[in-house]
Amino acid sequence: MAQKAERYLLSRFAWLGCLALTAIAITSLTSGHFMIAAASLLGAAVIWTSPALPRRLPQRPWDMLNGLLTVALTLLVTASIWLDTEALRGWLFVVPLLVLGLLPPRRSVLLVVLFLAIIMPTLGSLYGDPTRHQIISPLLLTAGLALIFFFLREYKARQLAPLRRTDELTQAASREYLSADLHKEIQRSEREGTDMSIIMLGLDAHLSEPGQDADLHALLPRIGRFLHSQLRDFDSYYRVADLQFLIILPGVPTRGASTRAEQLRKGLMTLMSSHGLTLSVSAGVAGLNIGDDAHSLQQSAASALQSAQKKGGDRIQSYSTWSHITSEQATTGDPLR
Amino acid sequence: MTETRLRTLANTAAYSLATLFFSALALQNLRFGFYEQFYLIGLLTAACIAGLGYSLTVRSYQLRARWHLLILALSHLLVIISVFWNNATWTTTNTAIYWLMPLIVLGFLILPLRRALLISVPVALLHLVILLLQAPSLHSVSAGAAILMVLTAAALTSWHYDHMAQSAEDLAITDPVTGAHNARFLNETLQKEISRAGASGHPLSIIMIGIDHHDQIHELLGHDRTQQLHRHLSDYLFSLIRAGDTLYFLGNGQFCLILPFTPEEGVRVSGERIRRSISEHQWPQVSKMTVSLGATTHLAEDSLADPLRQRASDALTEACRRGPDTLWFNRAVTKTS
Repeated sequence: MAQKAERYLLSRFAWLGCLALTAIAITSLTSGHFMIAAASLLGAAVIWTSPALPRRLPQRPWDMLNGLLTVALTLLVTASIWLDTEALRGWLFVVPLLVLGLLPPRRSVLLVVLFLAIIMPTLGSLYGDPTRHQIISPLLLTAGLALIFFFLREYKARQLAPLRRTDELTQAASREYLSADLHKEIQRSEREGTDMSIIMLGLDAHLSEPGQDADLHALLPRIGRFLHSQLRDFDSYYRVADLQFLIILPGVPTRGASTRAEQLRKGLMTLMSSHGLTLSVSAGVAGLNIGDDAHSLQQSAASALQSAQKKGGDRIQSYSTWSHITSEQATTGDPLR
Repeated sequence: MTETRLRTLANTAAYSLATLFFSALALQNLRFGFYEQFYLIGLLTAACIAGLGYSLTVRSYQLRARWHLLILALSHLLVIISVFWNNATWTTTNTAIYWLMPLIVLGFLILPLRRALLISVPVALLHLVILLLQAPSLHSVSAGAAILMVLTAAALTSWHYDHMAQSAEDLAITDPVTGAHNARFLNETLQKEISRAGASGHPLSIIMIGIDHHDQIHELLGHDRTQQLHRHLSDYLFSLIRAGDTLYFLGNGQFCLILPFTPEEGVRVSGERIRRSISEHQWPQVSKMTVSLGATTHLAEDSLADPLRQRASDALTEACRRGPDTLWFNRAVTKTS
């Protein structure tokens, strides 16, 4: 999403922030300000685990760690009102922005509301502190503005979601468009009186050695590029499951699609073996029959792929209601034309 | 909701919140007898009310509104004045920092990223310097770090939002006014259709549609009502075309139609039908309106979208030259010799 140069700048800033906070932490530790030290250290850790810095795979634990650290920082800053009167007052303003920026939507709003509900009565009860009025209103205002910012961002994200036509990893068209596009394609082939078929391509991941998952995911962008280079530019391909692709081939009869699937299968296997992965590829092919709609056509291809994988994978299976000869022909490499 | 409307809503909400909380703060200060602070916060509230009024007056061009910068710069200035008003003591500086925090967020919420940085970075740095000069202690460092963190968090949120807004614009394939596809998507689809026509050998035609006397209509009706006219025309065209044909709005009163699987005779018939129905239709804005149409058909030697589009545009120019309410078909034989 972000440009390379901007990402670079962002990660430099994040490192700088990390270093500055760590420096503050060390200085305050040596001079005995333990609250400031703990808060700065947590702040540095939050930045270090945040998405601003390039992550190491896998992402999930990092996200969780980042969330936990953010919550810990919130708790510490909240506790600081009772423990330490002055030092972390300014940090109260950071919490709403940080929480709304880093935690998942619902939880973050809940946490901010909770935070304010705990903070406000405490701040109000600080008798004899002339600055208490000066902090309550601005703090509420900051939280309110942060919430507006947050809703603005959520609204944009929601607006954006249906616009993303391509899967970020593989550049395959995204799944939401599959049914609509398939429906259009079926209508069109009926109007023009031409054939049409679809291929469901699946990597036989369940047959592979365990521990290849990370390698496979790293290879997905290449698989996407390979498919893109092999298909005609009016064919479209979709990533329907983690390791399954659906390809729409307008104007191609079932036999042609089987040949095409065999080429793609071989190509993909070569691609993977050149990256040190031994993994077979299966494909299910279904041609458009009279009375098929988008859903039934998809089902046919999926069940063809399933039966190919049940038979041990590494083969093509055409879906057919009355004959079952094509799969043997395809795997023995019989010329189909 | 359009971006302008969304931003107007957000700005109004932000200024209202700021007015509410700053006026509450002003009242508190009045009650407790901090008169200098009452005057300053009162001025700050006035600035926010001015901002609120301004946001509402520029609601139709919120994204181009320039005076938010001045309003927010003045508010930041008030905070700086508040530091020096009473011989800059530790307490007044701290109070000023509490006021500054929501203002920073407000700035990033309302202004574009660069302008917000232009105001808030110098002010934040100035406060940092004042703090360190007054009391070079870890408490000052901690407060300064808090300011910088609020600034960074707000800036990052704004940056993220800008990115999402930009990609939403880039990814959009339909025109927001007419509901037809936009010009960028025309290039993409036309290229696909051409290679498809090349592969399948089916004919492909396109029609360019231009509203006659568009400039005069625009002058007569003004911007908003011309847009309504475009919307009506687009709805009407949608009702005329067949399933499988696609409609694009190119701006400036021009539409484009892609007709797959349509030979020269077909496009002539379709074009005539469109021309006649439009000239016979009663339009709510102008009562009578005519269009000129330029049509062309894909030839075997066409492999790129641009020449085909150019040919259709030339046909439209020729149709306009021959008078309004005309269809001209460009056979493109003359071009080759």
